[in-house]
Amino acid sequence: MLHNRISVLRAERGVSRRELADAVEVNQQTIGYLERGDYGPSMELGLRIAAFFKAPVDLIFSLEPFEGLVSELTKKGK
Amino acid sequence: MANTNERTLSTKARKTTVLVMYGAYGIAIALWVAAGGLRPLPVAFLIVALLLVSLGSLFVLFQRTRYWKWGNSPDTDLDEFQIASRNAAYKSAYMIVATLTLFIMFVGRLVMDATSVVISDSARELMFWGWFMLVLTLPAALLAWTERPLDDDGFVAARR
Repeated sequence: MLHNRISVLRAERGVSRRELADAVEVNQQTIGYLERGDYGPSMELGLRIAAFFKAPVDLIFSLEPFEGLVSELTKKGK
Repeated sequence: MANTNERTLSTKARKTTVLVMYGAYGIAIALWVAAGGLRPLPVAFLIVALLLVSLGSLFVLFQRTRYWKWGNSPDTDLDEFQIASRNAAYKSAYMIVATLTLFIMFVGRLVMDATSVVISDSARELMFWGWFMLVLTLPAALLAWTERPLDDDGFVAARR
């Protein structure tokens, strides 16, 4: 399963599903399925999403579950 | 890309509509075969009513939602998720239709050999159009049946 941080990035940047969908040329519903983990994107779509957020692909997608934000921040604080 | 987002029904309504669409037609065929045609009059009315209910459900499901467009648009009008879902629906539809066809042929043959049931030409025609409807509509009906609803555009609980 491919894990992703699309919803977190969207929330952080204040981007709606529709805006992201329009930018990467897919249906809004497809973004919802991606966020829910019901669908793994093609490499092309993954790269387009990464380009939209101006972030490295491995920051957005991972084969392993991402750590929670709180635990990541806690680690950084130590 | 086709905007397949704008119209939908609740999951329960979609599943109910699919069941009514196929169920009503199936019951109409069974009644027709059992009664040997459109008689007596109450049975005829019932059969016609069931067929109208089936067609009405078909209309509601495919005219008032996005599933017909989703199931029948060319690849160029869909995005990659929609293409993948549609292809999966076509694969499932093929398996269902092929299995049903073989099963009905086999059981039908056994029943015809073992009993004196006679299926009239008109009943066969009704079965043919039922099968025609099933083959045409099943992929889109499967999309309607299997689609899981999304939340609104609010920011979903972080999957991280």
